[in-house]
Amino acid sequence: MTSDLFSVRGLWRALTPADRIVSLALLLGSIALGVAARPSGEPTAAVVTVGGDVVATLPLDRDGRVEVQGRLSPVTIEVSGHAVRVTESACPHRICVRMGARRHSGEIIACVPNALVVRLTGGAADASVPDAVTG
Amino acid sequence: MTTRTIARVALLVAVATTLAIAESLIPKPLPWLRLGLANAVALLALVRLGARAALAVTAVRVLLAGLLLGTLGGPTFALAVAGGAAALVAMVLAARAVPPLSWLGVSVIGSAAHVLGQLAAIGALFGAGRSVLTLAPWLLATAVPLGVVTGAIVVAVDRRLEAW
Repeated sequence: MTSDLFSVRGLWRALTPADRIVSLALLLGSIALGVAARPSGEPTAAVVTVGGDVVATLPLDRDGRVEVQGRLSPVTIEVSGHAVRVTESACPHRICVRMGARRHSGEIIACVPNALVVRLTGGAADASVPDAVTG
Repeated sequence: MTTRTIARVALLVAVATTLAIAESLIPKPLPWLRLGLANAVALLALVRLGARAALAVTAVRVLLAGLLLGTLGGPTFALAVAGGAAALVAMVLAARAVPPLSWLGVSVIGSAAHVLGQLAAIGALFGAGRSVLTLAPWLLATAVPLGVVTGAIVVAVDRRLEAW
């Protein structure tokens, strides 16, 4: 195999049939996952966990903010207009802050360095209800 | 392992650790996006030296990067272990696939496994459960082309390492 690997065409030629099938299957799988896990419904609360333990539950019908202690730093979580976001965290990449606001049931915001997850619960796509059954 | 193999594994560990740290310092357009050059070095170890060498490179790199970045033992480290282990196991198995995958295909599988391993860890360790699946589509969809790119880098480097 001595094809040119620095162009899209060259890369495509370098793929074996099995490579292409696997790549296509993964892309289709990601779309299927996207459809299956598509956030929907009106959530009622944002549940905040650190290392799997629930440390706060924020009702979404009331604006407000809470500061919880993550594994690395304090994290400020804000509810505003039925949406939740992480507004402050001292973690290195601040991915949690840059993820922005989430407003659909089943959606999550994760802050890995703090072992913190904000999960929107309630509504049609509540993660505790298998939606294969409920449709 | 012969002394020669140990020296080569050590060299790859140094390269992988350097790349892991460099990648963690580079600002990215999308916060969760990562090319995965450290994993590419594990693939290079698999290509040139076999599964045991790839395991050694991955394990020592994850430990060293954790130590140097200050994440050792914390949640970020747990995710690095989960992603690295998932990618390694998937690539070793994919390399034995029939019909054969090229190293590009093996890289794609490693890239996807890395993402899925990390998501599984977030779901299992941080109480997110199956809600992690809402993060999966974008991560998986970008993992595939990034896997092709890192695989191409590995193949290109492999060709230039004839003297090894």
